[in-house]
Amino acid sequence: MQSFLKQGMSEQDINDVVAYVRSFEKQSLKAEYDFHVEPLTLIYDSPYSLEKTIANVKLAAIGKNFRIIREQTLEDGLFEKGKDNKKQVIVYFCNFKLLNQALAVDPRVGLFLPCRVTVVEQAGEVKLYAINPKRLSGLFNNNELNKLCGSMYDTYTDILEESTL
Amino acid sequence: MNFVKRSLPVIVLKSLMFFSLAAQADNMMMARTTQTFPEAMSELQEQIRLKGYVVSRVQRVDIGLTQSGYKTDKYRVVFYGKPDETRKLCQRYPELTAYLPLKISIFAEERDTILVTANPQHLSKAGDRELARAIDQWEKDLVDIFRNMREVN
Repeated sequence: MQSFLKQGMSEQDINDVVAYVRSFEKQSLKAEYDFHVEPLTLIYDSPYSLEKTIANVKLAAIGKNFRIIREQTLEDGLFEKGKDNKKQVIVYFCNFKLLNQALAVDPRVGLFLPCRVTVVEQAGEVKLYAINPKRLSGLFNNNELNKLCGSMYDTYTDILEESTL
Repeated sequence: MNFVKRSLPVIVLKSLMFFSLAAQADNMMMARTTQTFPEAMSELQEQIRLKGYVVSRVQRVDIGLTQSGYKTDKYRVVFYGKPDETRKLCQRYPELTAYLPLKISIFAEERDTILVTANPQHLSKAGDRELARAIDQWEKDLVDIFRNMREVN
């Protein structure tokens, strides 16, 4: 391999790179949680009807300073109007400050934004389903995002708990 | 010895970059195209339809982004799926309702457009062949869609 001095880097540049690489030693590469053992989905049972649970999710999200973006069936746009399953409803909500903060850390994270909770009635039971941000943090390989995902996990579980109390 | 000192940072950096990219390749799928954002948006939806999926919604994620100092206001998430397959899988695996329909993020970066999605393999469950078949097909289709998007320049 040709010396990087010959390729145009100065002594100072090389020293800076070495110092930068050595600084990795001081950084903790471990997240505060192990995303491998986290479940894929956060699942909560609701003692309420589908309609009441949806209303509860909206109230809980608003209570956490989120704005309700929209409510739609999961199959909306996949089937003709009226033929979609009305028992699977997605509530989308967003906090723009949080959204911008997350996108500034890693623009790929927009894939899982805005936030959503899916309320499903199946066989007479109503359940809530949400992504598990702690599990997803493992996809991004970004230490800074891990903290944000930990905080989003707390927000999601708070909303899910409040909706089903 | 001097040679080692000069080359060490480069070897370490290249190794870090290699392992970092390899890890990301497993988890996230990305493509860059030189198409403008509107062209890429249109082409992506066409490519999705050519694979037999229905585009169910295009979600804006960029409201207020530029006001907050973010560098692009061109950011969308494209939702898509096969209607009957989505219905069947959601009934059989309700935990997937948090992740379906499938989606691809698309955003402008300077003159290029970037496509990103999570590799659907992250949804797989050990030992479930029916789900594995669906996920393998989604992954294969995504590889094709992203390759085609890169080639249309």
